[in-house]
Amino acid sequence: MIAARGLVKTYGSGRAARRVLDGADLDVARGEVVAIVGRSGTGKSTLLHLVGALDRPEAGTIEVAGERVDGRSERELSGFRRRRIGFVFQFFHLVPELTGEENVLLPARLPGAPRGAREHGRELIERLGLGDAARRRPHELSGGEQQRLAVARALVLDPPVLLADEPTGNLDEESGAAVLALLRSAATADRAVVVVTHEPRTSAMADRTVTLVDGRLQPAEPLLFGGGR
Amino acid sequence: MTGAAALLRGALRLLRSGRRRTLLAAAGVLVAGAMAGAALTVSVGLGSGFDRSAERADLPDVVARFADQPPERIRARITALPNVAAYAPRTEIANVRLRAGGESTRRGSLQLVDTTARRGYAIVAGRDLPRTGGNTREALVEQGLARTWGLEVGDTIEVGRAGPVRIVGVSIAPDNVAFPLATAPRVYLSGTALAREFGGELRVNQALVWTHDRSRTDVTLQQARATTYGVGNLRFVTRTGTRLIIDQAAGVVVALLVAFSLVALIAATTMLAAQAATEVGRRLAVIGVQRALGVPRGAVAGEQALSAGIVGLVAGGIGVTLGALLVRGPSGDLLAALNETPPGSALLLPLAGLTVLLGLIAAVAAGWPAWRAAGRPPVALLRGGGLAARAPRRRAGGPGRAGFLGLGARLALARPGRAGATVVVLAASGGVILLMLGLASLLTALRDDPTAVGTRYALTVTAPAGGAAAVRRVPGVADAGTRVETRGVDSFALGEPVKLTTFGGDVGRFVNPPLADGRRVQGTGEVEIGTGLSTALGLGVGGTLAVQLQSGAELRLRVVGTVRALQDDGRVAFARSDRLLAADPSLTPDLAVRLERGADRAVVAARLAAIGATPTNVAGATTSNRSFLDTLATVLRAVALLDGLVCLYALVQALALTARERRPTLALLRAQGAGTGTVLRVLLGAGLVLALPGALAAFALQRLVFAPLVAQLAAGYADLGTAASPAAVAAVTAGFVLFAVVAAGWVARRVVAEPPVHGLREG
Amino acid sequence: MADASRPTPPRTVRPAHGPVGRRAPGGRARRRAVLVAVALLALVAGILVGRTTASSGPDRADAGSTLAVTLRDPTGSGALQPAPGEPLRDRTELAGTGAPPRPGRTLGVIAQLTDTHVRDTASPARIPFLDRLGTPFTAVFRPQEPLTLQTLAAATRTVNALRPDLTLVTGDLTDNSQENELDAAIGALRGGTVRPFDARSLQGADNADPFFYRPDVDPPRRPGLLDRARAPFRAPGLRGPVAVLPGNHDVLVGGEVRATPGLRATAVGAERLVTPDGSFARSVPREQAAAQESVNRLLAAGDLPGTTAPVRPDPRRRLLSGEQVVARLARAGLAGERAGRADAVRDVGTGVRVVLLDDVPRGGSDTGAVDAAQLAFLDRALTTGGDRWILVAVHAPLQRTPQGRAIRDRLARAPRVLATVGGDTHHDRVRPVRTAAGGYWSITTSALADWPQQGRALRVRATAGGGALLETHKLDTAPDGLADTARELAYLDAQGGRPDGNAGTPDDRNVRLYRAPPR
Repeated sequence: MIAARGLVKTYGSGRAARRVLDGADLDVARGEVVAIVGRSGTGKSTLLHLVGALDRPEAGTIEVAGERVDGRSERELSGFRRRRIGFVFQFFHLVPELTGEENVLLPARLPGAPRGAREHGRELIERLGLGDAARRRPHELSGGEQQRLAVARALVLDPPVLLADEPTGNLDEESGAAVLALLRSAATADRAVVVVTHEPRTSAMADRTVTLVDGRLQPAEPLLFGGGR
Repeated sequence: MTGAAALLRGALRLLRSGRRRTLLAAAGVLVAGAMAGAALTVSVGLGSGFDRSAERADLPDVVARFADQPPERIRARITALPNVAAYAPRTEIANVRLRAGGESTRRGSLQLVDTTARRGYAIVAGRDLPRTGGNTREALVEQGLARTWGLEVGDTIEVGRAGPVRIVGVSIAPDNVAFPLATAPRVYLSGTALAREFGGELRVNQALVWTHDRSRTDVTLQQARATTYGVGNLRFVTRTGTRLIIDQAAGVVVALLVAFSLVALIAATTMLAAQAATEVGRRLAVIGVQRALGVPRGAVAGEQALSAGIVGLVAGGIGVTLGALLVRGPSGDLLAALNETPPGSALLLPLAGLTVLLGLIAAVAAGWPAWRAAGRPPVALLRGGGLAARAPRRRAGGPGRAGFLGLGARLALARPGRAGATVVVLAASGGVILLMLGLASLLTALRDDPTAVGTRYALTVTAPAGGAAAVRRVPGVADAGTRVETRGVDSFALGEPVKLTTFGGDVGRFVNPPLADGRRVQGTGEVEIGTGLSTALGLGVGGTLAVQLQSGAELRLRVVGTVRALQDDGRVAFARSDRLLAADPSLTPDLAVRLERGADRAVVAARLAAIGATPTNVAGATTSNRSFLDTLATVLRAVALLDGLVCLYALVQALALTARERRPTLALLRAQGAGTGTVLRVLLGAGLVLALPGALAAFALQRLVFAPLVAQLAAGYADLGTAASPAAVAAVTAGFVLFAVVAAGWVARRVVAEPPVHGLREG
Repeated sequence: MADASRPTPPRTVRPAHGPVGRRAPGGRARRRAVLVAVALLALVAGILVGRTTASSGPDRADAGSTLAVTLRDPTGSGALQPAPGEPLRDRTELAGTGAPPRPGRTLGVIAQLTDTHVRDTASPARIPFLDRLGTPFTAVFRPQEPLTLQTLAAATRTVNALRPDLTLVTGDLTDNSQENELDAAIGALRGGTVRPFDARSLQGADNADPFFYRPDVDPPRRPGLLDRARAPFRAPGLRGPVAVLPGNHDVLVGGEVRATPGLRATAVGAERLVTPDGSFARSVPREQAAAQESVNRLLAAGDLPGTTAPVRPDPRRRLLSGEQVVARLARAGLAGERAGRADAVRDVGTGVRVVLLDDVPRGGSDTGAVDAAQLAFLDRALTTGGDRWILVAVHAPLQRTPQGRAIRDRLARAPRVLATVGGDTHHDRVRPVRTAAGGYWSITTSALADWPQQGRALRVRATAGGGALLETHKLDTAPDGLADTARELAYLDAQGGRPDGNAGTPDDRNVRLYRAPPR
């Protein structure tokens, strides 16, 4: 599902320049849940952002669900994001002025969204038990509810790839567990899930764990303890 | 001193840190300053133009015109008057043929000057006629004539029977407007030299009188009137009377322009204040950091104030200068048409004052919110993205309906303070634009439509069978009533012409010029007289007007009010018809016809002709001189252009701020797959929610505040409504929408130019 | 410590202090002296301060003498302000050779008022409409004419402050020989309630004619002035002896025309001419004498061709003849009477004799030749004066009248005639008249009716060597609201005393006139 080769990304400039990704490769298969672990600042989120076409690599290729991501124009990329990617963020990024339901259905309103996306979205809300939360505004909801809405939002357009960047970073134990279960269940036959985390539980539930070392991905053992922040 | 120096350094640092933002803010100040500077230039130039030029030209306090008299008799009479400081005799010969450089006119006015006396004009080029008399081959021409015909010092001009004379100087005298606005261009020759050459004595028909105490000129005039027996066809004009004539000729427009400029000035300063406050909104994070570090509140606010003040001063100064330069040309042309001089260096001080004012406003407008923000806990400020992510207060009704436009609207409204400030700016600027459009249509109205100057009836008709009732039934006619108009002279052989317009019934139905003194006519035996007549006859409220009619009968009416009527140099009188008809039954009344609002005069006239009522058009009041009106329109357009830029800038800034604060939301949308179009829709929604209420508020502001204010300021000259037409309102609204689209497009481009991840990094 | 047991004889101890305490001997007296000194100092200081403030600027408390305060228009704007007084100037044309002698004792103080022209402005017997015909007619209307009586009363106040031995009124007391005018003027001179005339018909706001000053409407606006002007007031009257001479306006209508039956009827009639017929205006000749003739004929006929306005007929507008006028004045104690004329002799103390000569023609057949009886009277008056210096009071200056010639001849031969005093021209003019007998001064005084609205004070003094000195200065009317307004209007009048130069030169106003001893 995901095939990335030789990704290079640098932050900072001049003497403060840092290559966070230096020829990283990533392969994720259909139905797989991959956890990317490691210390913060090592570029895990960066890798995710590149795969999700939220940022551009300086070098390397990315292929998602058969589509090339690198080197495409912004207009093409926005379509790509809509069709192929569902993203879940650490800080939820729900629009405060909209209700839970409106937030979830936001992608369904985009031009080019498939028919039936809205029904699908409502169905998702029901299935995830978010009916009550859907009527409220984000500031009235707990972190767990917000993040679950965010996951529902990410799945509204049925993307083949679900990317989650520290999804439980702002949640307590219980909510975090619920969200993780959700992510796990999202990895169906047609979908791959990549989760960036520093938490042991997340890596525990993943099929495969990798880590970034010197800008490159390496297989890693599931975390036993919380990785250093 | 170190405190102040530290403050200054901090302020400069602030400016340097967000260089692009500073420039953007400066651009806004510059535009507002340009508008204010243009407005101030116009106001100062036109508002004080007459007084300035009158001083420079040594304008006499009284000019008396009369039938030719031997000079000694006039000198004896004038020097017997009290309060006379100086006296200059002059001979005016009208309808002299002038020819120069391919141009000619038959209506030249030749002024023979007594060179030993004061002149009452100022030389703007070349030199004056010498005191000793000079020779008869030298002449001065008025500036209007020189400009229009392209004459210069040294050229030759043929003056009637005097033949070709050499132009040695160009003069202006603000006691009348310039050629071609005035139909008779003035040329000056040395009367002293002529008298010497032809060995005779010039008969005098003008006396220029300067008084010791200008406030007691009326006493001098009173004595002059009382002693003018034997002098025929006498007319007096005082300096205030001259001013009246100028106003009448140039129309109410001058006063309106000045009033409009004042309004524009107020709008510009409002915008500046709103903008400076908004800038502080951007800098809340900086303030939060400073406060977290323990910088005292005063220093924080002071830095913000100082940085805004510096921008206000520098950018404001440049803007003010630019604005002043922009209108200098058209404003100067306008002044020249009025025989007035440009303010020149007299503008420097007001412009400098304006710059300082702009700086102060910016400083205060930034310092005050900064002070308030600095009083809040730093944590709230450091969260960034605005004055704390307040929970949206109201329940907006579902985005389902309006989609991304609605979302954008809600994003903009999430900051009600800033939204309000932007709407205020748009409303003020929009109101000014509407006012200007109203003024422009007023110019044409003044030219063609008599109702603009207090004459409420547009047609007069001979009474058909069926009388006034039949006329009233014609569609388009709002009212019709009998009118008797006649010309007479004053009863005391002063030779003053009086045009007496009387109406059966209430006079106010048909004429409504602005009141200068006293009250309107209410009953029989009362009359309201034009200010021209009042000055000429020395008649005030409470006096008695005695008119000698053509039939020989005399009519006496009590003066209850003085009105500023623009027709016939103000030598008009309005009253009820009964006494006039009693004095002269041979006069035949006609019907005055008042049209309904919006009715087409030509159409109604045709209808009236069809029923046997022969119509005649009633003329409007001001000059129909095209170039003058064009100049006025140019001035208006220049200010409007600047104003439009301000509107555009306000919208761009509002949207840019929204985009910046809601960067995460926009980034999120893009992460979801929203393309440029969607981002544009969101921003457009934000823009429209500001632009449309702004247009509405602009309309309300113009109608309820600006137009009455301007009309009030110019009320001394005409009774005006400057309400904007529906077309103008539609145009401004459409313009605002267009601005919203342009602003949204511009900001959207900038948003989409960076990868979404940057927006997502923030909380 | 004296021994208490031993009685001490009382000692007369002179105490160190005074009997009432700790004071040095004579301390009380000293204290009193100090107090008195302080009081005196305060008094002196007060006087000095008062003096300084008074002299720091002229103030009108000095009732009217132009030696102390004059009224001038320094900026030329037409507004009068107090200014420093005008000192006396020496005129020595008749003083003989050598330095002027030192003034000696005062022989008499005489005040002179002249040409008050008290007028009833609404009277049908008046001709103000001629003004606008232009030359040769000069203006009859004066903007201050409703206030003639108030001006006269204010002038009498100044005269009273002078305390003259005699007050002369040298003619034109009234304007139109009307009975009501004369009675009102006599009332102002004698004192008591005065009822001024109503000027609203000419100067009210409903008169549309701009030739007339209408205080409610025309600048300088004085709303309500006409009502204030016709309010009755209390005149103080002249306190000392008064002698009045009639002038031409006292005995002839308009100063020109003898009253005819037609004119008499018009005067008490019910109609007033407002605008003359166009035909009259066109036909009136433009040459001075002929024009006057035609107007006189018009008036005499009692005709009123043209637009008229109704007036309330008032029998008190009766036109008086010369005899009637003199009789009334004599009855009021204001004039002498001799054969229908107001000739009289009034001696002031032992040093001055004033001879009043009524030489005004009565019109008609009376062309004014001074008759033999009058000349005889004059001769007697001139020769029986003894050592007295003689002032001769006449209405019109003797050089200007045909009848004056005979009088001048007499005066030329009289050695102790000091001056002739008169009016009529409304100009101040002082000229020496050189005669074989030593010469005399011809003094003409300006009118109270016109700017400068002043009277004249005359003080006769002896000089060393037997000559005489006549000190004369002008007197302004006393401060009074209406009289001040009258002066203000008189100053502004462009046909009045200011442009005409009524006030003459400084040599015509406050002067010291020397006369050498008679040869």
